[in-house]
Amino acid sequence: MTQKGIETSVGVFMLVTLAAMIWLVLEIGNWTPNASSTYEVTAYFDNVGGLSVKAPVTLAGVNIGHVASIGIDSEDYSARVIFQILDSYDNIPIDSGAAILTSGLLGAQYVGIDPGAEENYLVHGGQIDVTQSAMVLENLIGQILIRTAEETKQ
Amino acid sequence: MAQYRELLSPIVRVTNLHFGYLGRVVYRGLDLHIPRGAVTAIMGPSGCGKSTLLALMGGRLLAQSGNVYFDDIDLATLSKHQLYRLRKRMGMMFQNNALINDLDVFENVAFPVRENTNLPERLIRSLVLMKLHMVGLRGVARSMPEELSGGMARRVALARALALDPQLVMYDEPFTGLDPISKGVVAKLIRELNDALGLTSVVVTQDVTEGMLVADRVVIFANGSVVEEGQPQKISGSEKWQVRQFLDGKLDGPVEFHYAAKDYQNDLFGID
Amino acid sequence: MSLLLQIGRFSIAIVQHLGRRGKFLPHLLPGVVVLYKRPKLLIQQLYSIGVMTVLIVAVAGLFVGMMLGFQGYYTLVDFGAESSLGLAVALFLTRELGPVLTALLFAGRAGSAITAEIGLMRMTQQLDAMEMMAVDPMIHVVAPRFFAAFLAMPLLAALFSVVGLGGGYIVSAGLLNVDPGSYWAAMESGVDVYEDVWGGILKSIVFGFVVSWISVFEGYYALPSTNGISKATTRAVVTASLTVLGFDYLLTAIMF
Repeated sequence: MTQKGIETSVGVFMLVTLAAMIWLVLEIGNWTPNASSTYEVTAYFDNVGGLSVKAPVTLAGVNIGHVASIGIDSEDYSARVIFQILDSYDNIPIDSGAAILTSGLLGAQYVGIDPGAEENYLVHGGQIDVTQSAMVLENLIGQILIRTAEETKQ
Repeated sequence: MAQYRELLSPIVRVTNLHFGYLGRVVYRGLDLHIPRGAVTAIMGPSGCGKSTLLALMGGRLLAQSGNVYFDDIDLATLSKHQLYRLRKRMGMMFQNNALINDLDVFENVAFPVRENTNLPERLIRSLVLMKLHMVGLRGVARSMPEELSGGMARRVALARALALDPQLVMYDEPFTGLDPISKGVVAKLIRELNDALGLTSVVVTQDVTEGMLVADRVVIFANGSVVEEGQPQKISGSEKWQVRQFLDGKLDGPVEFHYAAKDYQNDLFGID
Repeated sequence: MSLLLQIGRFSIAIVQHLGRRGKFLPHLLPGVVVLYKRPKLLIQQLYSIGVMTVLIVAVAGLFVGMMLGFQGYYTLVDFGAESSLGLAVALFLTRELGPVLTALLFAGRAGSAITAEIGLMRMTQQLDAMEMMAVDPMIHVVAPRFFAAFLAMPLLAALFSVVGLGGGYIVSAGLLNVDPGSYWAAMESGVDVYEDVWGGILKSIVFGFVVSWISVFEGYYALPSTNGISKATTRAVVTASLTVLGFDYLLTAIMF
């Protein structure tokens, strides 16, 4: 192969493989390089279940941010979850609710925002008061068992 | 001219050299000198360390004790960088030609020039073509090494060794494996180029006929030391038995036919 | 007593073995100047090492991805979780199979070629000839091959993963009727860019260094005979492969 052919194919090789690497990182890894264009919102849950940091925060199924941190409030022992919401979504009413949902049957857990009716919107440092904790399987089973027991009693 | 040559120090001096490897002693207290402007043939049976000597002279091997001087510079005192600079004044032709496979003949001869000088392309082209013309191979400038016959490859290696117009040229077994015509050509080139270009040549060879023809001075090695040295006539008339065995091709002498082994009868019929 | 002796000898041999390879590095690494002084040499090697390995890496990636699609499907379908197939394929590829399989294929194809080339140049005295022409063979011959291999391997691993994802997609959406959208969506929500993707890239960088180092070392110190070269080549492939697997275990344990 000619010198020019060699250099061209090496150039193509580098470009294609670098593109593959970048695609892997951005598309599959879902990397958002401008993580700074977000604002913080806090919510308290009784039980976060299997929710983990970096889990998506969605509204009507659309990804609007992610979970930044999960901690414990030392006063009432509830879970304090901090979301980073993208700045472009600055019209979330302050009376919206946050629920911890599961994607699919065995899927990862994520946060779904249920929009409220108020005209005031959440800003940086705001808080969502209406929360719904994750469904814990054991509690569900416990509820089913109790209900079945009551029905058989009747 | 000859008297003037003697006034200058030898281009290579070896003093009290001790060298061995893998537990085997090759040289014990060797003294040798290579006079300038002449063709010196170093001859001797295989395994007597002739190629090792070239490696020591080129700084590729380091002696355990003793000194090797090139142009009065002790090779052992040089840094890697300084050694490389010194090697630009040496040219070497290897036994298997050692041409670089990926490059064609032209690029092979151009290689040392490109790597060591900043000459413009036109000049390099002229230089390479002149060297190839010197050995009669301008016509194969664009062939690859694998396409050449043994004799032709040898001549390309010779052209490459002379590419930088070195002061010292070393030839490692230049006649081995060639047909009689090619041998003659190589011998002619070594002799004529040495005189025409004012070089110093060291030819390491087992080929007695060609070695004697080519050389101004002959050094005969056996068992790691010099057994005879001088002009070719003196050597061929030598009475020393080591020299006679080598020159006449006798079966036994200082180099024995039978390599050291157990008693023959015991080996064949003895108990295992 | 002789068992102790053997253990002692063996341990010393291992230390010597590693020591010689370690001593080689400070001779090798300064050769990075070749990138600056003689880029053509590097490009030539990138061609024969990188570009020429693309075919085997891409084909292998395709088949492995397709295999993962099948295997993953039949495992997940029992849980009704076949919509997560994309995630499973992606994780296996980026975390493990991409870096490891690429490294093994690379050691076999490119690594052995490097060892053989350098060994042959040693045998035909080309390296000695270069020394005598005041050219440092480490810079001219060895370093370009090392750095080309080191550079090419992680890139090839990325290619392997991408092609594998495509293969998995072909099998799942084309043959097994998994919903195409959920294939990619499951991947995007489940794959963590730092742990999974960067972890895989880090692995392939480490593997690239190791495979290149071993291939170049074995070639440089190969005995100058046909037997010597063939032994050096097999030794390079075997040692490189085992070392990659060993490091894979180490890195996986550390990272995950």
